[in-house]
Amino acid sequence: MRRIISMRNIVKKYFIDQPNELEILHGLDLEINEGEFTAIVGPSGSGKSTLMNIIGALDKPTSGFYELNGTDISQLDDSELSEIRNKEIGFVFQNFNLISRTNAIENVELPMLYAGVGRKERRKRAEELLELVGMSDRADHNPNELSGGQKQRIAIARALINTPSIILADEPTGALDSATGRMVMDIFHKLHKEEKKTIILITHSPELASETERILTINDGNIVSDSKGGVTDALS
Amino acid sequence: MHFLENIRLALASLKANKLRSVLTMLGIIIGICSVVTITTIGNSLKDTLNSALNMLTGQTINTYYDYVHEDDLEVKEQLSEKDYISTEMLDEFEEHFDGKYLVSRTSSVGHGTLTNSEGKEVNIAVFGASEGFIRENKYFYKLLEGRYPTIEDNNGKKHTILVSDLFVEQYFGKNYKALGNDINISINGVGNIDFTIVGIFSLSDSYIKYNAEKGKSRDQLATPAFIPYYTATSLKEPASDHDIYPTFVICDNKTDSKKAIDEIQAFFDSKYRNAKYWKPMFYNMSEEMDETMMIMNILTIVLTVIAAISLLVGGIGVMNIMMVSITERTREIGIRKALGAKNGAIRVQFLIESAILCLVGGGIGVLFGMLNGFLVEVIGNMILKSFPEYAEFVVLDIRVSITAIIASLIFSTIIGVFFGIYPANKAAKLDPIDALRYE
Repeated sequence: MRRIISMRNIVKKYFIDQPNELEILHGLDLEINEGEFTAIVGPSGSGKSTLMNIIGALDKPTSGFYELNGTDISQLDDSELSEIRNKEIGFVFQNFNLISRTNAIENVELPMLYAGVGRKERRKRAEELLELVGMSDRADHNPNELSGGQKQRIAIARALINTPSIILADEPTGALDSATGRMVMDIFHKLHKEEKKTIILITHSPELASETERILTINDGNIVSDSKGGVTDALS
Repeated sequence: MHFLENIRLALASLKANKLRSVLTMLGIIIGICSVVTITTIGNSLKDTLNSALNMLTGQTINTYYDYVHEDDLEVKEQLSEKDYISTEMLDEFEEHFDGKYLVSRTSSVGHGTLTNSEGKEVNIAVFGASEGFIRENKYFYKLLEGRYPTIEDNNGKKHTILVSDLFVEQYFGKNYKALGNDINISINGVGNIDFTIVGIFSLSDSYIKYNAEKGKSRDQLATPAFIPYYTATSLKEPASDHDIYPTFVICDNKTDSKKAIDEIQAFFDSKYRNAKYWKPMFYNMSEEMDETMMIMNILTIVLTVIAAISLLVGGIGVMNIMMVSITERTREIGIRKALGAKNGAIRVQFLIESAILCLVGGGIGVLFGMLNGFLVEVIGNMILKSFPEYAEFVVLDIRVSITAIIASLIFSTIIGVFFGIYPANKAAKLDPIDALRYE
């Protein structure tokens, strides 16, 4: 199986060379294969968010090696990181992070816009993805006219638009009630099964984590366990 | 990211905060409005003055006398009669240029009285005039039919006369074909002198109105009539033998005043080859106005600059609101960055937003400026109409210059970009993680 993410000895420090220097990740190693549905769990303050920011190319490790889909991204500059985020990573956030005053389909198109794709092609692809998440009939609604579950489905469509190597979902059901949360999780399962997407789910809910193939537990800046999840049963 | 997308985005964002956008634009609107108003009025006044002046003096060349040797600091002999341009020189001049340039010559003869077939007495003011004089004053005396007094009329001291259309109406009756008729005039109470009407000119309305205001009715008005210059001087000796400061009239459309001055100067220079101290020099009145025009230009520029300072203030307002907008939209910026927007894309987005804000403000300002110009035109012409003696020649024509409009729009866009740079850079440099976390 192809390796999508490999991290070696990732260290992340804040306030470097200051009295309050803080090391969050202490030489973490991580490998994720193509098509894997992985959950990263851990309590608040465990370094989960920091790890997610590094995986998502929003932040750079202080030291260590991080290769994403064949590119060493620990040495890239801001502009190159933007490109990586644009092409390789599909973010799904807890609070959806749709742009207000911009309708659903335009939100979905946004990453493609920054990739420099023409309007027609963007529109066509965005329509396909809205169809995939069952939101075709809400294409021209603004985010404030949509429910939480609908917003998150739009956000998932947006995450998929540039066919990224990984989907990075940070507590995607955290702001949803259990029924809609369930529906969102079902979409992830569908993407994993049918579209063979590589999905990384960051959560502190052990229940959600147990739905995935692989559960990484992070504590105090280290991965403390790497176990198999029960993904196969979840859909049925 | 495409340019058009950015413009669409900017417009959407301005629309989302309508009141705030308009209030922010107000500074730019007022600034551009003032600039457009000032330049429009300034330029139009200048044009109006220029064209009125050109109409009245553009075709005439005037005379003055100057030292032959400019840098000669010795005590000069005073300008005296022997230095003046003589009548003979003027005759030679007219012959030499053969109608290209004419000498405006006039002398007042006096009061003329006529009695028509019905026994009605009609008065005229008799002047001796050359063709040059009537052409010089073509805005007052416009030849309707017939001809100007010719050099032959002049040299032969012929009894030909040009009368006004109003005289024809007074003496013969309305619409009478008076051309070629002989009239018998007693001038200054002397004699029955016959003249043949060779030309009829129309008096300007303002002349009639002006005299009518002095209490003379149209019927009683003594209108001017012109007999050849030498005929006039033979009837009444002029005070002086010399036309000290003759005026020359350019009768050739293709010759401009500069060339005319050169040619006239050359002609008289040859006559004054042996002059020791004084010689005549020539100038055109409207060219003398260049200095006045320059002062007016400077005034316009100074006022424009002052108005432009208010644009600066407007620009600072725009910068302020852009800072607020960026703070408010920190999260949006974070989202865009997370989705792959490069710093440059964010910078361009906010620069365009700020530029559009100013451009739209500038556009509204231009419209108001044009409206102001229009109002000034209407009011200005209303005031001018209350001076009938000028109204015919001076019409205030306010024209908004396309250059001023384009320059205003470009300038307001530049202001938008300039005052947008700092906020846009600030937005571009936001850390995506912090921005995403911003509440």
